Amino acid sequence: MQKKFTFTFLVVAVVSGLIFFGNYSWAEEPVVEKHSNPIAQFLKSIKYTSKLTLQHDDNIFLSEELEDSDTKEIFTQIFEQNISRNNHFWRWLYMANYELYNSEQVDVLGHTARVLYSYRPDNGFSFGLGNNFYWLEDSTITATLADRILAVGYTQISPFVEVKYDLTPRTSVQSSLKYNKLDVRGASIDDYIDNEKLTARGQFNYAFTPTNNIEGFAGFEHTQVAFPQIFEKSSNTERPFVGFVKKFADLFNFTYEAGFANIDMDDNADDNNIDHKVSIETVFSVFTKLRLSYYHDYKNASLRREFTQYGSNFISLGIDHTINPRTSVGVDYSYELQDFNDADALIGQPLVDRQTHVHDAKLGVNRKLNNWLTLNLNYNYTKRDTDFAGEGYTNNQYSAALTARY
Amino acid sequence: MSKRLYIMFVVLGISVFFLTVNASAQALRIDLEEGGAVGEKNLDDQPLTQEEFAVELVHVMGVENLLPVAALPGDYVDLLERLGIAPFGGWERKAFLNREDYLVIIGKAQGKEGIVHKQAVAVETKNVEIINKKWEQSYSDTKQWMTLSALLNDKAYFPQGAPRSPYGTRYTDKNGDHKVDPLFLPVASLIELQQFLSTR
Repeated sequence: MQKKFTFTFLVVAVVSGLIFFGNYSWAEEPVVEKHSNPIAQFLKSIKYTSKLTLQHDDNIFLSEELEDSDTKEIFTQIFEQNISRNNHFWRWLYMANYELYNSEQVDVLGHTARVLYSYRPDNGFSFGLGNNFYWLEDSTITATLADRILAVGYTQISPFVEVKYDLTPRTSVQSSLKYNKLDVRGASIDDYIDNEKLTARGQFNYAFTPTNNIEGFAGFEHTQVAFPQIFEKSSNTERPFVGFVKKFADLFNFTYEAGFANIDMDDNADDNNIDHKVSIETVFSVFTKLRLSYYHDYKNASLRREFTQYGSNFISLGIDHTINPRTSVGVDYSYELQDFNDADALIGQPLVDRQTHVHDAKLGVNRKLNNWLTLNLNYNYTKRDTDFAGEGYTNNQYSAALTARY
Repeated sequence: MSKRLYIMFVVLGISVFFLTVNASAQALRIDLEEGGAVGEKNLDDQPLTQEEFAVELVHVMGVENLLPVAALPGDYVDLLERLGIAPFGGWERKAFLNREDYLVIIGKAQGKEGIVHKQAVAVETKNVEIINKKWEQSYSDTKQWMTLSALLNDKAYFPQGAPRSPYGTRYTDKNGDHKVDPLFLPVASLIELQQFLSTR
């Protein structure tokens, strides 16, 4: 009842807002369309995407013990608008995702909303702020949430602000503040999952050459993670970092970053950690893109009952190629090794090291049927091997989707 | 109770958002057509830096949503570069945009990179041919082989300066056969391979 009320209220509020405030339209300008309806003009600038997906999973519960295949229909609606006027840029997006599992007779609803305002006067100063909002309905269907596989509904809010300033033609500074709050529903587990994360980051950039083909950067990142219901998992991290971007003109860009983190856990255990990030991205063509990235030992807060944090070693490779104006293909592979160290075990938990290996491969083909309708065919293979009992699984996912954009 | 407060907050946020859009758009009195200014500015009369041009091009392409939250002109350049749109040899942000760079950028932005590279390779081949011809001519004139750099700087053979390489290639003769070395153009080869894999 409450959900219906919320949904109806939000829909009414958004539609009223669109209609009431829609009169800002630039259509009043005589140079454009003198007699156009401002509301129609405004509504026309909203992009609407509707997607219908038929998807089959070999293992919908992502479980070794309870393997069960099912086919589901996914209905996705996206409204988005980008407004760029002189120095101002606004963007908002709303997405609703409804999944209906045929055999299980279960449905899952999810909402995503994003807003962004950015001031970009092109004079060497810029700032932007916004918020991302996610909401997933409670369900018996499992999904990946950080280092866990869970069947829970949750709400996530992530406001952010970023400022950049060009000091000289070769130097710039930037800083950002990000907050993330994850709130899962389910009294039995939320003590170990609900958390708030605040990240403040400052960075100095310097171009070593006039063509900017070697750019160095250095900065400092402060992260506070709070698990309001269990103090042991809360932490403060100070992470100075340094790196560079090397551009091989017309070929590819290479980026390297090293971070030196001092992690102060609230249970008085400290951890010093060095992480590395390497990425390569091709820039030689509009039609073909290859990305390769590797993160080594990047520390994240664990959502587990047993551990405070885990180290993530992640490698990914992606290739996208446009075969012709109507057809494109994409292949992605990623592997993550999650390292759980006995030193990070929570009080009362066994002091043992644990590992999780996650392989993920994707293959996709997109074919434009006409200028507003696209057919997407996708295959996704996931394999998870883990020392945590009962959490490994293999899943093959096949899907076909029709996407309409207006 | 807190949920209702949250809903009220969301509604308030949406209202403020649209009010801001409204107020700013009214105050600014923007001409919708203004975004179409790329190409209208005369490159000779009113020179643009490459960075300024990148800002205009991103506006016209309508891909501002791909920029970082706070975006400086350099971020516009980086975005275009990541999309595969750049002059040969890469962007030089503070340099003025010349006609060659303009044509290459626009060609790539319109998905004509194959033609752009084909033309560039043709120019490179022609350049090498001309240099080799002039080198032979200088030998028959003087009965002595000039060094390649001396030849390229000799106004008698190149009155308007040495041929300019579209890819910024430095012409060399490392094996000493008095002919310009075969050119190594990895980008052109990649584009050729990419076109082989395409049905465009």
